[in-house]
Amino acid sequence: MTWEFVQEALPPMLWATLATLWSSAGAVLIGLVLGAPLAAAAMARHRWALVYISFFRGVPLLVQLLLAYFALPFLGIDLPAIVAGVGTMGLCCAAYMAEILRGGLALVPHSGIEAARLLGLTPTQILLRIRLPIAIQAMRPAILGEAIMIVKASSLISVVGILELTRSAQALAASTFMPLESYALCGAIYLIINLALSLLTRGRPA
Amino acid sequence: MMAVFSDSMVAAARGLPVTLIIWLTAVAAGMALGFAVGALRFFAPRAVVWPLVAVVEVVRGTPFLVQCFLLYFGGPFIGIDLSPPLAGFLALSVYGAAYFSEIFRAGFLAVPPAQLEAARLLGLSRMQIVWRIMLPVMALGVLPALTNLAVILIKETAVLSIITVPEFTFRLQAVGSASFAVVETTLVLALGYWALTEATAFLARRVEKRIERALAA
Amino acid sequence: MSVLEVAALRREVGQAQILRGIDLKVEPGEAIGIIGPSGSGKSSLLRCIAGLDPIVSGRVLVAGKAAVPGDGAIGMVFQHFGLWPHLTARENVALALKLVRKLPRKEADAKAEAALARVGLSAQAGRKPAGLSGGQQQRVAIARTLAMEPRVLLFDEPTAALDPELTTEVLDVIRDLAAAGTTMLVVSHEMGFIAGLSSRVMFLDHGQVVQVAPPREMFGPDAEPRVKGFLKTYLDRVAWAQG
Repeated sequence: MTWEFVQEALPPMLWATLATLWSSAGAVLIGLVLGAPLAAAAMARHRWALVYISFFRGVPLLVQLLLAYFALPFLGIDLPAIVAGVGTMGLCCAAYMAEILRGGLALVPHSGIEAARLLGLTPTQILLRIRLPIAIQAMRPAILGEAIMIVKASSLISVVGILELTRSAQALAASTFMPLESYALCGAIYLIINLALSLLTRGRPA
Repeated sequence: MMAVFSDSMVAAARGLPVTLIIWLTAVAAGMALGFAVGALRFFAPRAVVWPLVAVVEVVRGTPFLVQCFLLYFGGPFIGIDLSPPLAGFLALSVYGAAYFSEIFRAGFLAVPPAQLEAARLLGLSRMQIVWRIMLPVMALGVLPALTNLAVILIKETAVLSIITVPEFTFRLQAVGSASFAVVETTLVLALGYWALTEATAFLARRVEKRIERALAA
Repeated sequence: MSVLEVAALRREVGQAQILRGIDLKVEPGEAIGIIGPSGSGKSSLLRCIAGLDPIVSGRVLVAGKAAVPGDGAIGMVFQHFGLWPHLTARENVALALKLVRKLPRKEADAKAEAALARVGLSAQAGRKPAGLSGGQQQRVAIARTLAMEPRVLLFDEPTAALDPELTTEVLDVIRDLAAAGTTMLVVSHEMGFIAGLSSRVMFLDHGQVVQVAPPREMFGPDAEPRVKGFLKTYLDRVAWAQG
């Protein structure tokens, strides 16, 4: 890989990296916001919550993206590709987050919940102020691990035509006839993002 | 409508075996390779461990799709010219091996030290300790993680359609774009994978229970 | 000739001096009790003798030769048993006989049965560790070590992980072995047991030998002040616990 190549390739790739970053961040955010009630519902063994989790964890994300991209317009829902892409990733992420939070909620000691109940907190307060913070704290490594998975999975939204990191590498490979260098550079950027994320896991011990 | 349905069935009958064969062989190869790497990380000298850790981290830190592109489109430039199925199998094996190696390493670490020290003092060789003590002791603990990863790898096979491996997703997308019945074929895909992953997870749990019972008896 | 000779043994971990020059000669048939406050280096000493922990300087000779872990010269019984959970008691004892001593299956099994009989567990030979009580597990671990006929047996707090009511059966086995002439080093907080068992008792503190003496002297009025201080707080605690 020559220096000239990197100089030429890097600016557009870094620009595309921004799309990767914010679409991943959006998906993780949706995942957390939806994942929390989903986890609570799954713990209460609500059937639809369990079916939701099973579906989004059981079907490849690529197929989910195709479904959103092709099937939604057919149903008269016309979303911009980027919204469909990030939304699908978020819905999928929620299923994984729910499983993670479910594991975390199970760790919350009974005594802590009972103490809160005796102090007069409502069930919703107990969930939001006691159980979820404890679960999120305990599961932080797993949540960051899921965030890393999402950053990698975001490469798939290139398939439905969104210009993010992988798509920009494809374009570069096509225009320069240097696929090896293009994809290596692209992989290196993903690696840096994910190493930074995993350092975050190690940085502050729970 | 009927035509789309029968076309889909034909496509599934052609594509699913490819999906299953690549998946099963890649799981087997990835597990073997991952076990070797996991064991080496435990026993090998630092000079060997260091590059292994680097490779595992690179594979785990980059998207599977990019790895496929690198191998399939970049490979020919350095003399690795593979057919799509072979490239897919190889990429999936290496991808799986990186994650399998982490599972095995965690399993090795979870074996209580006294069990290993006892074996060492009694004179068992390293190979004997790995095969006769560590592997069976950790087998129960890592089994759920192994089957879980195997299910994840089923889903990754769909990505291989992008490098034109004629598997399930590729075949049904072809039917979809030929017939313009994309919604139907994509639904078939989703339901097909859902059934496949649920069935695998169900079977895996039963096998786990059986092995658990055999080991506990 | 001494069956075990430890000379100027030093162990450091980073800046911490774990063992600061330990000397000890053990004659065949001796039972050496090792006592001292926690963190004094008792377990470290055993682990260094076994070759499990690296030493900075000094030497360990078994019957005049440098011992290597796995050469069968030294056997060790761990606080947490270290039984292999996937094997039955018999298989636990027989495994090394088959793999290391290369005994034929039948012979190894017979030898394992004999070792289990010696610790009173003939009836439990076919059970896996999960089906045994803590005391029984520790006795299997003893049998497993015994079957390889080591020159020296090391016991690293063999009853510390057991419920109080299960310690007796393990201590009895160790006492029988000592009476039969097994050379052993025993780290334990069971002071009465150590007093009755040992030919000599070693008191360790901060990685150094404070005193080595026969039990009568060690537990008597003329012991080193540090030993007396340790024993006093120790006995006070026991007395308090027993009300």
